[in-house]
Amino acid sequence: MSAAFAVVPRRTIGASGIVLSLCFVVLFVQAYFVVEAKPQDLFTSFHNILDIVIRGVPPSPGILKNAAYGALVTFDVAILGTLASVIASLPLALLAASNTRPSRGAYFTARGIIGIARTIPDVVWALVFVTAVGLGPFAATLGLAVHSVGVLARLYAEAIEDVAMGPVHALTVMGANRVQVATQAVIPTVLPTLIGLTLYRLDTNVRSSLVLGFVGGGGLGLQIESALNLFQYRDLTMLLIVMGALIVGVEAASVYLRKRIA
Amino acid sequence: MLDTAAPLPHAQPQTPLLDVRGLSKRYPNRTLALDDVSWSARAGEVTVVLGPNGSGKSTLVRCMIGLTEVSAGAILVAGDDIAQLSGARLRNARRRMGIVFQNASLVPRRSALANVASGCLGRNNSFLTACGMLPKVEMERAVPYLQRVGMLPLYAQRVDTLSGGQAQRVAVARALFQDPVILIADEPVASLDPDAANEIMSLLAGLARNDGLAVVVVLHQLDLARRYADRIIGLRLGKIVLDAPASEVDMTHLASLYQSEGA
Repeated sequence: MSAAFAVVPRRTIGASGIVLSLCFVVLFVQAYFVVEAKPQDLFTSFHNILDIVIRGVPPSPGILKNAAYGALVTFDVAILGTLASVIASLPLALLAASNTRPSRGAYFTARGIIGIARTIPDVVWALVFVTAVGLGPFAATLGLAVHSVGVLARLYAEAIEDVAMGPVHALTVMGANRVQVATQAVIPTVLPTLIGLTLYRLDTNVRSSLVLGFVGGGGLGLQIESALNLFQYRDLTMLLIVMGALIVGVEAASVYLRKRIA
Repeated sequence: MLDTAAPLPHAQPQTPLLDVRGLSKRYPNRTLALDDVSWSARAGEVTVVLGPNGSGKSTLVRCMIGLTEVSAGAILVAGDDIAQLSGARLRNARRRMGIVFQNASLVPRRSALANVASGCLGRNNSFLTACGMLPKVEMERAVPYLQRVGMLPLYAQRVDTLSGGQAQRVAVARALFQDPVILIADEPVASLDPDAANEIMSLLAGLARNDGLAVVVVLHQLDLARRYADRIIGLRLGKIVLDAPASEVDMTHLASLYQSEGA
């Protein structure tokens, strides 16, 4: 009997393993059919891609000035959205960090706000704001800002929860009030981490700002979409070059600054 | 400006500035960390608290500075029972106690002078300090305190680049800038080399003798205790087993305080 008991659990693990593997196979097979995947098309219709690329050269220089302005709009949406989210995220993070929260109620309220802001994608937030402020870069900025609060405040709160409590206790016992402890001990201590997270977020927001352009947010994204719709492939090439320069430039600046503050 | 660093007016030897009466602390897990502890610290005296790990020293300090609630008893700081206070009145009472922690606990990335100036936060409750800034006038007032601990030449240096002994000096200056009547140091030399440890201890002893503060130091080093203490208090298993002038305490007393722990 004891031998049988020793074998039984092994068999169940094996059976559940097989069931689990089957589930995964079913999961991916249904996905393959639902997305109508036809990998062979990539090879049989490769000439179409080649055709667009050939029609896209040389990039038209005439659009450069417009593209540069579009890039500025895209960049400005990102920096304003990031700035607004930083301003809102700092106090929210202090309420949502277990070591600096003033009360359980404030903690759960802040966590709830952060959760909702993060769960809803920036595109959806932007569409919500379109109803209030109309299509354009401002709606994109607001959408980016709200979604970024959900991401940044959560990361800030985690950074604050990791802070060394020594200076916090020291200032508390010196008679400093809660706000002073936050601004004079917690934030100066975690500042490099907060700046690093913010720069990383700015980097991400530049890309998001491009995508928001496609749905009416303006800037480079909108220009790329129009060029595609109007089959202006040489303009499109120039726009993509400017887009690449913008993304690489912001990422390089962000990496450089993050290294400087480390 | 320099008169702020002059000897403090509280110097009245033999007055108990800190009076701990019948203090007990039972943690939620039912451990009795402090059992009916009573003692007092007088102005102008160095009181050293000794005891093995788990004897209740840390709990005693945390109760005194209001980081842990007491289960029973009173902690009178210049007459006010801080165990009964909360909110703004607790913050006011805390200002009269300067604390020096084991690992300096300075705010990193800030200068030595800015760390000392942050000792003003208890009394300077302005919009500026709420925004994370320190008023220029407080920075200027902090200068003599940095001088008092011999750290003026390094006033602009970031504290995370200071040595352990230097950082602890800045922490002492910060505690003094609160203008306290009691200075509590929780194992202030635990992570320092012997030379730096002696420097910090003589600095603390000087504050008692010259400036009339009641200085309370929690220590592990018996030799430092005997060299600098006016009064030695021994804790074991949450009870006071020794409370005597340092001159009457010999090594056998102290050895027994630690030895019998394992038995």
